[in-house]
Amino acid sequence: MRKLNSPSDLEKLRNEIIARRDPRRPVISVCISTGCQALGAQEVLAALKREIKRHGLEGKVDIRCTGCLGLCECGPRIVIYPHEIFYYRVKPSDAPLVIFKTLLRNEIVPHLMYKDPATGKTAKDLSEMPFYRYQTRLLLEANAKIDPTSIEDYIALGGYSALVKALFHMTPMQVIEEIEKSNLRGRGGGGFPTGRKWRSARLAHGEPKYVIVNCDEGDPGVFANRALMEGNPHSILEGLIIGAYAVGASEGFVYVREEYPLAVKHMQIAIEQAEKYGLLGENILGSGFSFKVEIHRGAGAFVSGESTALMSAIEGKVGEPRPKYVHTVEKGLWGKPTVLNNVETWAFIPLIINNGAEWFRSIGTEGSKGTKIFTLAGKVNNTGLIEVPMGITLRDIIFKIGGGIKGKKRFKAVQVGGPSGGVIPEKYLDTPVDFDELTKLGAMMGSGGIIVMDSDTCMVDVARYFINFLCGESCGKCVPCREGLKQASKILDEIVAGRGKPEHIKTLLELSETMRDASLCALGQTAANPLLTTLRYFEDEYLAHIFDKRCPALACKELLTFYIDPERCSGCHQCHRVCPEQAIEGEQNQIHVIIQSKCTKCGQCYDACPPEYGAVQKISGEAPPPVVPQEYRWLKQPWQTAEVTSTTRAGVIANADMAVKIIQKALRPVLVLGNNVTEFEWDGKKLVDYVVEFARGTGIPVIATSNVAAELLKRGYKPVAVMSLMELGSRLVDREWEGLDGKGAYDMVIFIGIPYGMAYEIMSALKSFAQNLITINLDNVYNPQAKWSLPNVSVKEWVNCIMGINSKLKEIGQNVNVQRHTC
Amino acid sequence: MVPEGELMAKIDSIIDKYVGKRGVLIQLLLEIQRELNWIPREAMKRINERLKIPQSEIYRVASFYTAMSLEPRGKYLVRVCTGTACYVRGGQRILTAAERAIGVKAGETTKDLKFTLQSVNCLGCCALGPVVEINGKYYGLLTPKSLENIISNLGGKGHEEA
Repeated sequence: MRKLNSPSDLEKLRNEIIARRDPRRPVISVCISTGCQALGAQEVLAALKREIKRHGLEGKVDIRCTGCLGLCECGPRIVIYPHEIFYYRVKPSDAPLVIFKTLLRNEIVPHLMYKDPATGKTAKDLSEMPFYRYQTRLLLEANAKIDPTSIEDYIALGGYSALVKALFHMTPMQVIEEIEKSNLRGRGGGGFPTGRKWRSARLAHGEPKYVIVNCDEGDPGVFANRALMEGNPHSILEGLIIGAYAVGASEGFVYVREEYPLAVKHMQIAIEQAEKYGLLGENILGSGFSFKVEIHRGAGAFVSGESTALMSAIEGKVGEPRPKYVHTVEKGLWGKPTVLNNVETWAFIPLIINNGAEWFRSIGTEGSKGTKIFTLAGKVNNTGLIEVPMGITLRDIIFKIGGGIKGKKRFKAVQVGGPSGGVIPEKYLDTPVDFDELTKLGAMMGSGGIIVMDSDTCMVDVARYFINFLCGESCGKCVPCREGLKQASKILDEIVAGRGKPEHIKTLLELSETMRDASLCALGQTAANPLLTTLRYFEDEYLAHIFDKRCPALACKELLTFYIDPERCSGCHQCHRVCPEQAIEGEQNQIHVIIQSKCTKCGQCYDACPPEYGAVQKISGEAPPPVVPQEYRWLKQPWQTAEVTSTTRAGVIANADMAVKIIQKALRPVLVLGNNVTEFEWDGKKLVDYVVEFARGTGIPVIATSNVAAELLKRGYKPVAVMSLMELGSRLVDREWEGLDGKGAYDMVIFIGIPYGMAYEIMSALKSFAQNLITINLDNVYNPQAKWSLPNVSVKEWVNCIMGINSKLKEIGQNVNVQRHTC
Repeated sequence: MVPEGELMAKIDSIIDKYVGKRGVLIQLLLEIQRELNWIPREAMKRINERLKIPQSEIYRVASFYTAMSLEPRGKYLVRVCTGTACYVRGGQRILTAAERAIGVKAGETTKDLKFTLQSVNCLGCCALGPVVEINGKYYGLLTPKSLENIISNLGGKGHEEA
């Protein structure tokens, strides 16, 4: 690695890198951003490497770890070049297929392709995916092509050429003018024109001057800055150096929040590499301009993202905001002129310098130019990071890119701009998204969080969530914010708990006004936005909570009641298993009942209840229906709960005469044959041969279990049914079962050839739960669980007895079954 | 527990790196936090002696930031995201499940110093909500059940090591 001393050195290096690279060489790029890692990207990476080794492809295939491409929910994602094949939801176990089929044989692995959940169609490339089709990816595009830890990847894509253009072909003032002309507005939330900020800092008195990258992306629900810094740190760094040159700063800071360790790591590597190449440090590329950068890690405080607070934090003080009578561009860090811009703003600088202000101005709306990265999250089908031109409508974002609402729920509202933003209802969905239009609706661009809410989201609860969040994050320096949020939070807690009073709404409005007018920094000034917008668009929900003690969205725990609809409960017991409080009564096959006094309303039973039953119900503002009394809760008699002890035991069938007398009484008997009839032999014949004769002779219909049916068919006898003993048992205990012919319940079951243990269990269950059924055991081992049973007899006696019954019945001339049972 | 002499030597070696620089307090405290997993009183005293920063100011910073802890933290730092996106997808229930599985409330540490449970505002994995991070490893698209499994695999409740 050599130090670059002039622009031509950089060009030479770029050409070398490009020349070294064979465009036909296969490259597997794996997204290792935090999102994909959470879904196991590291394991996929390891598996791919193992497979490459196994096929001896080391050195013939490149593996590139890249940053976020946006569609996080479908991660881990890999791309295979040169054919640009995108695979989603890759598991480590897919690695052999990927290497063998796609890499070696150029075939596609269909199940890893992206399938549009709406149409079910497979998408071959990004343009066929609705998620990407409507985006304009100026900043995020490079993420797929760059290994963030490799400066060479960035240089190969033309990186640092904007720096050369600025340093060698433009004066600092020209850079500022170009940025001013582009009308780039700060992406951090406020939308202050970047060029104007730079000009003020350039003209301000005081040395040294500082430039700062703000990556304290504290807004919950937003990760655009993280993705950019993790995925393409050099673009931010290049922008920062150009900015430093423009305003005349010699030192810069990158402030990264503590929760983003990977972003810190990649930025650190980027700074070291840039220093080694002479793109950072003393006399950059021989231009005479010197600039150094330091990373400063945040320590977990939302308010530190505010510019003055962030500067205090860099100074090593508590990150609290200070009044801005004097702007930070004049007196910022250590009282010196300072330019602080958001990650996204800095990343735009190289693009604008390279392509010109006119190009940038051609994208977007009148007041807001360029594209904006949004984090699309919440209840939409496609969640992730999107980059869209300013002026796109919220409807397009949610329904075209986001693929609509998850499940079959209805859209209710969208929260734009993080905690300081506002909630926008359906009727304003066609508003173009830009700085000014959003502010008109009471929301703001903020950090670009778009959180979609469906009919299950309670707007009062959402307001409470944001107010609670801000209350916890308020630094406490100024009274309106500290106390206003505290009181607002208390009132909202009361409302969602069903203790709201009519005067609460007025108090909330007053508090909002005071916070907006009298707070020190933007946190307090905008804190009321979620409150005001929900009050403006969803006042009816507040009123329902206060007057009816009802949560229309069925979300506020304290106002909910869960109960199980006895008509729908299948007794599957799932809810009982998940209930953490043992608040659900019931056994398998029983209607389950929630004991309201124990229920903590955690909703786990609601989720656990299989959708085909949907028995667990959520209601609000009304009492649950009365519960089914204990004795009516059995759904099916649980024959599986066999081995029910009882005081009776089977009567002994002493001889064939006695058996005949018992069988004669039956109106609808059935004969069940088990596996043992094919096991025992007597007199050169199998037991089954005798039994077939018995069946033919008596005319009793036969249900064959196990593999008996085949043996019967061989002997030309057709059983009426084949089923397992288990299944038969559960049908026999079902009082509504009308028999196999549908003509009425059986009143007698005769078992022959059932293995003892099975017979014991099944008859014990039938004895307890099918009490009208007479069970007869004609096996040669006494079974106490039957109603009547043969005693322990030898096989000879056994066969004789069966044949005896047969001939006796013939003698009497009574075919037990013929009149009553036809199949 | 680390013997006191060793502890002080460690603290000193960390402070050494920051002597003579300006605006280092937060970074210094963060490094102590990373190394020792908490910020002991002795460390704050030592910083005061060597860097001449008032103890009140050190305490103010150390108590302001959520990344710094004035009590020893557990071996596993379980951070449950309750950011907006996770919240609308049931992050609160994950937190309740974590509290139950670990046996302490959010913000507390188990007696055996095995787990510390925290709720954080956003881990930046909003598309995968609800998300939990445990010692730098992220777990996405969680359910209360799957979280309980993760905790019990780490030796949570009922499996506590003697």
